[in-house]
Amino acid sequence: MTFLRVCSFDDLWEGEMKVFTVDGIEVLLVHLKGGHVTATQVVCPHQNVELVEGTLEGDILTCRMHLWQFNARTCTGHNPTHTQIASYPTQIQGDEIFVDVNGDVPKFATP
Amino acid sequence: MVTIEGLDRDFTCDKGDLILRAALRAGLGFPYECATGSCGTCKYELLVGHVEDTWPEAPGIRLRDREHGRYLACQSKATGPIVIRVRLDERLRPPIPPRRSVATISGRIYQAPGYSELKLQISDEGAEFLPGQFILIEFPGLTGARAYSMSNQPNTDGVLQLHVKAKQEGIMSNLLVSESPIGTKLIVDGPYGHAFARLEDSRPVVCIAGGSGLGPMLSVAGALALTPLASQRSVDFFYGVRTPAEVCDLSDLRKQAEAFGRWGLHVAVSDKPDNSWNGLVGMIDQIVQVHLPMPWSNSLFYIAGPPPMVDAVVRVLLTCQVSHEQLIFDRFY
Repeated sequence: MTFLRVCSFDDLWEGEMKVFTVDGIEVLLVHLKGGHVTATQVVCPHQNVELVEGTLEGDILTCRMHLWQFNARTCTGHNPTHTQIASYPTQIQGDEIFVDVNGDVPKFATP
Repeated sequence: MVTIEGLDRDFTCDKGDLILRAALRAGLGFPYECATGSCGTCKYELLVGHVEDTWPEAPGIRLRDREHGRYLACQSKATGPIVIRVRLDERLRPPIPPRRSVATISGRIYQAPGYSELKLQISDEGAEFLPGQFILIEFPGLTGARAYSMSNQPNTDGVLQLHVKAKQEGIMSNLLVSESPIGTKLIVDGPYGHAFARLEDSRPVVCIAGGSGLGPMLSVAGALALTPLASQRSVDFFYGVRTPAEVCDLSDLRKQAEAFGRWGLHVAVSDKPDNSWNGLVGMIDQIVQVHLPMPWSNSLFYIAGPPPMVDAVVRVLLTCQVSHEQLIFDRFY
């Protein structure tokens, strides 16, 4: 496992999500209420649309395109439920966020 | 020649064809939704070669996409051999590969102020599509294509019927609704779209149409009425417009619906009407919530209309525990 530094909490406030390129791989970082950080895939498992363009309400991440919903804390499908999104291992060191971008792969699904 | 990284077959783009259209003509499951530059679904990464961007300001592509060498397949042409990266999906393979043909405006019925049902005659072939699909129209002298769904059934006579609403800034929609004379020639390219009728699915059906979204919903309901399953089928049809004057003629739909085992037609206007209106009043998403008989968990929902309406309806349905697997709609922006 190789953890690489992605950003600090100054770059990603609570309730925000942003895309970063780490070691040539794009990841979506989501800073949830209570300080939890999820590192997941950039595009929706449904189609070629970026999740960062959707909305985050509590733990629920909604894709703008067809309103597929995911629990960003557990990286599981909220509706539809049979899906999941990638969950890259993260490490917090002080104010810095580290991610292992080889720790998972993007998931894909159809309705 | 376009090569997709990791795929053992290439496809060719004839005479400056757009990459998305060429891929679909070749029968590939290239992801797309609006096919007109707005949604961003058909993005790919250019690895080798050069492309011509036909609409650099398209809303479906962002600055960060540019920085990563990404383009919209529906808005770019290969200027030589290229290699691209995109994730194809077998399930998105076009049931009918789209074709490009010349068509003539052969008829027009004014349905409401600024709203026509247009009849197009394809010159050299039948009208092959699945009910609920759309075509792209290109007008001589205008740049870009517009998407319109068919309201009739596929036929061997080459007739396409479309519901067109004049948009304030929409040059093409105004030409189609009223300005272009009968006999005008234009280019049609299609069929496109994934929101087509699942005729073999026996679940109760709910069609929800807003404004000119009535077109594809008429096609879907009409197709369902023609299947052997029709007499056992339950269909609820919701149709929302702003004012009573905008309600289109539904007599054909009512006639077709006699084939259904159970039928409910719910027509609503959203602006507060005068006393002559004795139908439903409200936004269509709210009307569905109040008037659609329970349970909803076993129904199949077809939705078409202006983007905010589709968005509102989908949100209401999801809130009411309808699953995504039950929803059929194409997303335009």
